[in-house]
Amino acid sequence: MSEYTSENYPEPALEEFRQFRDWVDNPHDYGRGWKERNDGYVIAFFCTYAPRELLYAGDMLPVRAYGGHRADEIAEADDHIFRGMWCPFSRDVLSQGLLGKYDYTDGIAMASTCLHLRQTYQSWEDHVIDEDDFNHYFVMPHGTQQVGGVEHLAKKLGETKAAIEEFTGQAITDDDLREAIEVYDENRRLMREVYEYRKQDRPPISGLEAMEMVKASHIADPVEHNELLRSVLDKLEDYDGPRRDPDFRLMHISSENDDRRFMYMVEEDLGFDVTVVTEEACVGTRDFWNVSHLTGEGPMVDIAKRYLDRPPCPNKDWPNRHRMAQIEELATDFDIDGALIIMQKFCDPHQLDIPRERDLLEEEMDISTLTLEFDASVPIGQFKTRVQAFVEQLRTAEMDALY
Amino acid sequence: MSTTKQTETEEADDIVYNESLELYPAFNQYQYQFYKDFVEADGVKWAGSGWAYESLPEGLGDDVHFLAGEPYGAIIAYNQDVSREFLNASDAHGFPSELCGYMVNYWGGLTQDKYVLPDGTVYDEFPNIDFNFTSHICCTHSKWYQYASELEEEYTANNPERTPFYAIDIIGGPNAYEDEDVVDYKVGQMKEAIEFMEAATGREFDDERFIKAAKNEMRSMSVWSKTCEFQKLDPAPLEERRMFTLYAPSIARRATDRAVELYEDLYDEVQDMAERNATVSGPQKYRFISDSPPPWAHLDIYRYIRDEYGAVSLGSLYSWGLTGSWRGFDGGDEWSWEAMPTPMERGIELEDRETTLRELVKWNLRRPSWNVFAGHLDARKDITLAMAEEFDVDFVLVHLNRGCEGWAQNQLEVSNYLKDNGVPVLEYEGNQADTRDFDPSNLRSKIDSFMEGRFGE
Repeated sequence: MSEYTSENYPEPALEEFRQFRDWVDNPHDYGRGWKERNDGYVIAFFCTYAPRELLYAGDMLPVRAYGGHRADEIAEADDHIFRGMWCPFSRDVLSQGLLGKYDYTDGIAMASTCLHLRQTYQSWEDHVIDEDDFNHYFVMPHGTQQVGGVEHLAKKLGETKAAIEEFTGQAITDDDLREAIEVYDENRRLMREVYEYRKQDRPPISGLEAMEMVKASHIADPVEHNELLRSVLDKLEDYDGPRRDPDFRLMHISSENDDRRFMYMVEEDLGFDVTVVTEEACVGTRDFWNVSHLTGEGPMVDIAKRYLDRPPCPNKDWPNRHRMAQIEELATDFDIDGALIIMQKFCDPHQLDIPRERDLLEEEMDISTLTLEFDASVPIGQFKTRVQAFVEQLRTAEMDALY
Repeated sequence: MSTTKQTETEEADDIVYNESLELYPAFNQYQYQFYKDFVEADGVKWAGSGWAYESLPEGLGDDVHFLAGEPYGAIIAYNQDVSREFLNASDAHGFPSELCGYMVNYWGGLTQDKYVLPDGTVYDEFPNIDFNFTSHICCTHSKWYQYASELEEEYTANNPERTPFYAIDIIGGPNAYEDEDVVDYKVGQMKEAIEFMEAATGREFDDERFIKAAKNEMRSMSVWSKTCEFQKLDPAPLEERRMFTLYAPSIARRATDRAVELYEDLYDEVQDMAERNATVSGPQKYRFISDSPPPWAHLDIYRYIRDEYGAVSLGSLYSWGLTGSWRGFDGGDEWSWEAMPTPMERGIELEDRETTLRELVKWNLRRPSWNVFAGHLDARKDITLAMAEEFDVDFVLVHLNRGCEGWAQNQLEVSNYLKDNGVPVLEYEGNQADTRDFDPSNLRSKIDSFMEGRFGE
């Protein structure tokens, strides 16, 4: 399936998106180059709940560890993680570490999140990093709605700050923290502004390009990423270049999903004019939809509130279901025709929410859904048939409504 | 406490084999009764994880009834026909079968509006629940009862409205009980939970009742740990297959006077057995420990390995560590499988709400199971190797358990560590609570190959 490689994806009209793609294609080259240019530390993180601004304030570049999407590589993790029930993303990420793909990094950081990525972090800790590397576990409350959560997290972030200072030998001042918070908040605001253009009837960017933009924000220095985003927004203001012209506007609701082959297949290879116009995913809106609160209680409290108030991962979405309101709002605002519910196989948190997602979309909003189970390397041929059938069903429903 | 290990299957003259455990029926009866009371008695009824702070709702009165989800899920799983019906119902509702096996059994029962007793008796209506109150110890637990509240409203006749729900966030790694910030965070939630329970039931919370129940909870868990310590002896007085019944009240209903009485009586009986060199099993040619909850519908695998090879399971991090309380890493970097005295035995007076809440939080964070779910891989390695060494076992039987991600976390790493340290390991795949996901004949073959290859049997 050689056509499903990035060199065959349609070239983005805007050069900034070509740069995002290059970073996504070559994340390790970027990381090595950043170290050389900045004489700083590159730290791998595993889940978007890791408060990146804190690392950045300590002259560290946080880069998210991603899988390689290659069936021949994921087996590297089989001696360490029980493949019979552990999500392929967590196994794929560990495989990349074991294969030495992240050998230029100076350590790891992990926020308490799902058990699957926690095992990845712990096995990485045992088999990949050196003893003198940076290694920190952020204690992130699971109960993001719980009483005392902000205060608790703010205290723990103070411990993280101390760990960074000890590693680098440099004090992190409140000004450093404020600056890092502003850089990341600007990044979130700018990406959200770009997403406004995805609401248009004829969006100027594809779902694939949006995915690459967000994934690039997990790889690149946020200052550089922001520069490109500002440039993108300047151009989009008076944009007269090529646009998408979707007959069908889809949304994907995903546990971790950075599978560009799948996005390319959906948008370019179905035989229908389909555009993925938004998503509820951690490589997407879930990661950047909110910014920090300026509480006046100090930067740690500001950071804590931002992470606890962000659109939640399902395993942090209790006792009230805030996620469903977020999905409903996105589906409405981006005017979707159908939703692809994508879960990593064995991803318990997302499996737990899927019946409610279906209830919301199908029964309450009359929006059709298709649920797909992802592995590290998705069976493109099978999925193409299924998504084609799904879109055909959407078309039939439209025709029925007309007549 | 260590003695010379038996090396032959022939019976030794000074050992009393196949001793009957007098208290065994009382444990069964206790369990049967509290499950029956949950459906038939009046009073406050609440459901939640076996990890929930059971003594807290006891402050609402002397007619409080608790349904602990995991042991109840195990009871459903044990009754295979009922379990198949519930699991299929859960599948049909759209819940993936890969989720926690206990939970999908539980949810399946709710969608069928049915309730089951340990003997397989099925009630056609799930009882009224005043509130769901749990502890979030893994990705699943709060979601379990978030859904349960919704399913109870949607499917059960006795719960016409959404069941009130509160969960306590349990975070922190190994030795989290030493972290006052973690303790503060949990105590704050527990205080809010008290207000929640008062609002849900219209009752006033009584500190005296709560404190008494908290002491009971600690005593039950501590005495259970002391009883497990006798397993260091050769012969070990108990075998794990029996212990699965004996440990159950410590997870399902440990805060009552009766639970304390049972555990104290059990300790006395096992101590007497130890003094007389008695065991419930036959000759123990091989001693082993297991890892992770067993496939509940197929406990006969323990009988098979005992009867065929004289190999007896002494216990596990699961059966001793789910609710037992041990010294752990206290006083050093090495784990100790020595029972932890209660705060009262350590001179800490529990006389007010604040002190009791704090001690209860710390006590529960001592559970070895916490080191499995939220602790660190290195801690679990140390704990398991320490168990293998202190209890002088010949091998470890590792159930790669597709029915619980908490217990499956880091299992292969721990297996590798044991092997690297010279401890033979037999791994098999299965599911604690989904009988459809386990192949007993395959496991028997695997056991045969292992015993032949490793021990020449």
